[in-house]
Amino acid sequence: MAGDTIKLAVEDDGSDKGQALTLLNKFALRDNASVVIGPSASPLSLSIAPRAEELGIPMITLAYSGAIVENRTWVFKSTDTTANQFKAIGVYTAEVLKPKLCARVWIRDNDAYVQNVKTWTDAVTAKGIKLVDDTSVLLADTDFTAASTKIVSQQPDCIYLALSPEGSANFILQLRSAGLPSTTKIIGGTTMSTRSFLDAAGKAAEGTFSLAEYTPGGINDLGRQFESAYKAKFGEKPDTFAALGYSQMLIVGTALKQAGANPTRAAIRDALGKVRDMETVLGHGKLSVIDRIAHYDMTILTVKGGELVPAPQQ
Amino acid sequence: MLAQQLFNGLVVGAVYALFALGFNLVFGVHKIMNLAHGAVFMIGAFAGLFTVNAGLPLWAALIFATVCSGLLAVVTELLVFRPLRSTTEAEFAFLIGSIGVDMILVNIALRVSDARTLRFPFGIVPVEPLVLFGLRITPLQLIIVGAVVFCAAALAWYLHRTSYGRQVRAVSNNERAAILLGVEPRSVYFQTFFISGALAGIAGVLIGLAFNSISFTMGEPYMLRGFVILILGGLGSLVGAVTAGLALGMVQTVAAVYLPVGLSDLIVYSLLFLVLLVRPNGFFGDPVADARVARR
Amino acid sequence: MSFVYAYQPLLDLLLINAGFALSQYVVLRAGVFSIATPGIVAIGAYTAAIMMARHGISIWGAAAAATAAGLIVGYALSIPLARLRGPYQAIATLAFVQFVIAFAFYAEPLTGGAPGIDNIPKQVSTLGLLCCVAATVYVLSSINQTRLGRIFDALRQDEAVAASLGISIWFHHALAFALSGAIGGLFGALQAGYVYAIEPQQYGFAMLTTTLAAVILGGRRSVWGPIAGAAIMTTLPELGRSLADNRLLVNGLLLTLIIIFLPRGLVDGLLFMRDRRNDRAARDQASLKIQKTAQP
Repeated sequence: MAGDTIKLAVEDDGSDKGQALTLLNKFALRDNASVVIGPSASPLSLSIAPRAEELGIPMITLAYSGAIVENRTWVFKSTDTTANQFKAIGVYTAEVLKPKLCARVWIRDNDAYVQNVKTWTDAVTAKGIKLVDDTSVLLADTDFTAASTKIVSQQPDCIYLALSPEGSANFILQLRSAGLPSTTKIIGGTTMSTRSFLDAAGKAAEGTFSLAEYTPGGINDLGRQFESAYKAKFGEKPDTFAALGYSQMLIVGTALKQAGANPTRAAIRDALGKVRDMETVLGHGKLSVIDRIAHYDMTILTVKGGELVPAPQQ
Repeated sequence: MLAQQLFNGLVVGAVYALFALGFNLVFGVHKIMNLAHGAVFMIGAFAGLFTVNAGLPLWAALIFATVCSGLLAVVTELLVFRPLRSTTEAEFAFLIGSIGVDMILVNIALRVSDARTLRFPFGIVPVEPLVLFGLRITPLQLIIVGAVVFCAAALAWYLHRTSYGRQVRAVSNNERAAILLGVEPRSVYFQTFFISGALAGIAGVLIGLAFNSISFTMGEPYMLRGFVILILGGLGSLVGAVTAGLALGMVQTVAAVYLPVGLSDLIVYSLLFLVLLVRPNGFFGDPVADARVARR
Repeated sequence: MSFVYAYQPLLDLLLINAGFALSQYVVLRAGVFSIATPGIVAIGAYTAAIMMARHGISIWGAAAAATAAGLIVGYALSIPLARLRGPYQAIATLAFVQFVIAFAFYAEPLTGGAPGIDNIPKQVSTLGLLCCVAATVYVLSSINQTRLGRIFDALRQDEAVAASLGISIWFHHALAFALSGAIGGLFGALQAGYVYAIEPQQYGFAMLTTTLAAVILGGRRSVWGPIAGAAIMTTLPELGRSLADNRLLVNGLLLTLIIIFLPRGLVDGLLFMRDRRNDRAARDQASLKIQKTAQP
């Protein structure tokens, strides 16, 4: 690129804060990295962002928590804010699906899910939809028999799940086991538009609604190219996280191109902040970085015949 | 709804009981707190999954998992606990050794599963629930209850009606005396550990089926519950392990429904602490047995 | 120079882990089978985090408060645990740790609930950590050289004999608990003031096993044992990618091998071998002298 070679070093932080910090320091100080890409989890990103700020090295993360970039200058987020994202599914629920009574289930030990359910709730209650008693679980929980029995007894006509892909699948299966009628609409966020959700839920995923940053199959030429290249290299179709990762690298690539030959860290930082209307595989195809957060539109998907397709009446 | 919740809790409690039975057996007989028990449970689930993915039916998976876990427990005993038996501070050493084994097994499972959560394929157990006495009962729940009842009964028969069981009880009571009376301790070690591992393996497959998830970390929460059941039920008491397991399952489920979230854990652990202070031998344990209550 | 700077955070982590290991070491040295350290560390960390993040108190005040909190909790634990021994003590302290975590999850307005507390100003430097570790080592090694140290040894090796010598078991156990608590609280605060964000899960089983492993690895007698153990466990994953990916396996293997073959731990084991060699050399010298004088 512009005559320079780009070297990409990849290391695993093992989901450990200490490890992540050590790697950041190693890359920034010992290896003279120009840009740090990652981590992908919010708690880790929250932990090392202050250090990246201290070191003056641009850091771009996939993690969802907005607090990571707050009051910083060097830290960027390649995912949109949950407020923007989940508003879309909340509005869709209220205006298109129009339920009367909703139940919600969310993961309470991860900020992303907490914010997710809050945004959906705000959009939905603003339209006068009622909610039943809350059910919150932990990321590691798998035993949902008590919770699903309780929800079924409350007879909601829609259920919103803010859970991990396997957790959502698991919960739906246990809901069906507890006798949930098939007319109840099951709605989820971005975790329910993933391949792992479909695999884990099987037939139970049929008819569920979800939010997606990435429409499977791609919505533009870039998307379709990405799909075939990914499939050729990894032997399976890409999911949302793959698309997010790809989009993140597109942002970095665009910024590097913009920053010119032999860029300084400051030049890269500035270039990252100036990304506008970049073509991406996400949403409806365009992405801009504003105030160090990437913005793009979301799509609503539904499961038909075991595949994710765009939902009607968006 | 309460009745349904209690039933759900009973089923979960049954699996806890199965897990605790194996744990309690080893602790009761050998005074070994085997922290690797949770890992053996988890490996059992993986073994069952592996069997089913290879195309074999569920009953074959259960048998394979049982034998696998049983042998794994025996190997652990041979390699780690046996050399530690004659050392000073043996109890402490057993605990540490079992932690080491646990870490090794969890790491192996992590690598094999690539840190992902796996699940049994659909359809190995019919899903349509039956409705009996106003309760929804899934076939899987029936299988679980059946398996646990069978195992508990088999264990009781083995311990009290066979000569092998008599030997186990003798060693549990006083190992040296038992050896003097002609009991071969090594065969007792083999049997108790094999049974303990086998029960854990069955529990692992059942839980993997019940909650649609098999992961390398699945043993840890069960280990914690195992401690609670061990203490509440009383060391060495198999009736205690089953009763405490069922009770814990029901209490936990009902608490999750009616109490604010997170409170049930607080209650369970405070209860454990309290019971340790007031009645360390648990509700069914022998009141004069060595609770290691020391002098001032 | 930049090499050093790049690895400075590793040193910081090593020092923090050494602090945790020292807290665990104190109780084990005195023969108390307590694994309450992660619970007390959590209490110290949350105390300090709340003071620093919400009330703007500096690390000095926060650390002092956390140390005091740890000391009080440690002492308070010794009272109910006085009647228990061996695995029962371990289970009771495990229940305590789980209770603390459950409380952190539940008491959301105070502890931030599941997401924990973030935006803790980082006020802890490498120098500060070095000073704290050095001070702790000084205090503990001084104790080891006085009568108190010999009392702890006696309690660890044979409680009955110690009691018959008129040593108050309860008083010394309470002392060990309080000291361990103070150290745990201090380093909990230091960690909170270093990692910007804390949440309940980081004080669970994982911290328990790594801290315990560090002490077992290094040794339970000499004060340098836990430090050596913590150093090994912190730096070993850095030596190679495959070591880092299989951290649990390496630690588990080390733990199991050490407890079987070198149960005293590395530091104490080496010291013991050196002392034995010196004794043997001295004995050989002495017998040589006797032979010489006996000759004519």
